[in-house]
Amino acid sequence: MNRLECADRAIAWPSDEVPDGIFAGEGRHGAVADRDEACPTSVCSAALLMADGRFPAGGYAHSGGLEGAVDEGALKDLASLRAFLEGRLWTAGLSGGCFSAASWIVVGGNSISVSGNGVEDLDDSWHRLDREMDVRVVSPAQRRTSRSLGRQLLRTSATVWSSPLLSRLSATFGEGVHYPVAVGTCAAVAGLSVEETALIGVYGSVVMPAFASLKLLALDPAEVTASVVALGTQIDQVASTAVDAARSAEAALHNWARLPAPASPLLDYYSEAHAEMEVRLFAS
Amino acid sequence: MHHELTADGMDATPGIWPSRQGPLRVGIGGPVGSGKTALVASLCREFAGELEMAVVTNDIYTTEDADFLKRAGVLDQDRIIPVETGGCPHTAIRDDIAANLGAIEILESRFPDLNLVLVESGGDNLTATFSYGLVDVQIFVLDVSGGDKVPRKGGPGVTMSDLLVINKVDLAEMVGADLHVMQTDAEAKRGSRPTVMCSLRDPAGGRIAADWIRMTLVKLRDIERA
Repeated sequence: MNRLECADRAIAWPSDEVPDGIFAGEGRHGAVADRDEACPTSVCSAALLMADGRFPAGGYAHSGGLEGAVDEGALKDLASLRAFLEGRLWTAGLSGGCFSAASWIVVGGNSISVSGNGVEDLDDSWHRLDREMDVRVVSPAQRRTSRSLGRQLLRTSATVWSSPLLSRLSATFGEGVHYPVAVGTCAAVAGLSVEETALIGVYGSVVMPAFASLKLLALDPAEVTASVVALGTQIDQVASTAVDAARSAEAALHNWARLPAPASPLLDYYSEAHAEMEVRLFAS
Repeated sequence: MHHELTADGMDATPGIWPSRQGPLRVGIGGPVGSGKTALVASLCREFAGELEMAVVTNDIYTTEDADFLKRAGVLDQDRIIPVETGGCPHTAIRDDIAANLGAIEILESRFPDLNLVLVESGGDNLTATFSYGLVDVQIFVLDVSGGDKVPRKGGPGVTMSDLLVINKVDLAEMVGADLHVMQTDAEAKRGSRPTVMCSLRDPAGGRIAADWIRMTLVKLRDIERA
């Protein structure tokens, strides 16, 4: 949904007429700001980069619960993989999308500033958001993974976008902040829209286990990719639901407790079982 | 059989020295079974009581190497952190170093006086080298039983590593490997970068690598003072 809009913006706006709201980000990352072409295409590439499995933030070492499911014998073939991906999309994916979008809102979205407005408020908002995410992640193993991935994403992004806001978020959470909270903040710093931010959060929750399946089940890579594509409409739908939920919670005085809390007991179980496996390929 | 290593050899190390603060980070890579963990254990024994050190291990799967080191009792358990690599050990040390940097960060916060962090790669192939975003210098470990053609085949591990260790020289006769060929080929590929031939089962083998790290630390200190 956003790719087309993004491309349209790139075509429609000459670089000297870029609306303030969208590219308030220009001033905060020097390298981009100094280029004449600090235009919508740079946002496009940032969005693609963040969604790319090769973005070096440690995601490649995780299976999103898939290895646990395979080990338990619950997942053997393409059909069961598709069911797993769909289930993950509407549970972990929806949570991820909601909290990515909420985090984007918390840091000021398109009018984000380098330091963050009202220093104390921002730290407090991050903590409230992180706590709400915490109660939605029941499995301790998943919590550890989410914080570890959040921390890694912030470290890499701090180098990529050189934003003090990212260093500050890292410093606020010594043990790491929940991954979606990191995604939302990084996406805002990179100048993405809230829709793109949610989409990245949701999409990541599907592609991580999808591509881990290549190592665990030796499936045909093209078939696995086709399975992700087949979920495309649902991915868009979940991302859009996530943005609506985040906007609604924002309107209710930033009451993040109102964000959806989709449960997935089996996924929790697989994550815990995975943490106890003696021989495993993936970190989660 | 041990190759004498002189201070001159150090001049051959590349000019990539840490601009970052903190301990010297040494990467230890090489094929499966070549002796990386043996080298790490040997260095831990060598530096006991001399340096504040810690180890990050990268396994292909599970935490086997970290468990081995913990069982060997060469270093306190909380100074060893395993990184799980999703079946891609080369990715964890080269293309996406986030998890390893995280592990080093934890060790640095646990032990603020660290002088040395060893980052052991999971066993991989001849192309697996460390990113200099992760380590300051790297050692590549080959072994004689892998065949005496390996140094000639080259690859980034053989050509780019700051120190090449050819291990298990005591097995040369049994596997029909020509040590002279291995040494000559390695030197041809590596120019003036140092190569040592040793057996890491013999404490003297690990001592040569330890001396190289000592020289590296001295050079680092001199650079920082300058």
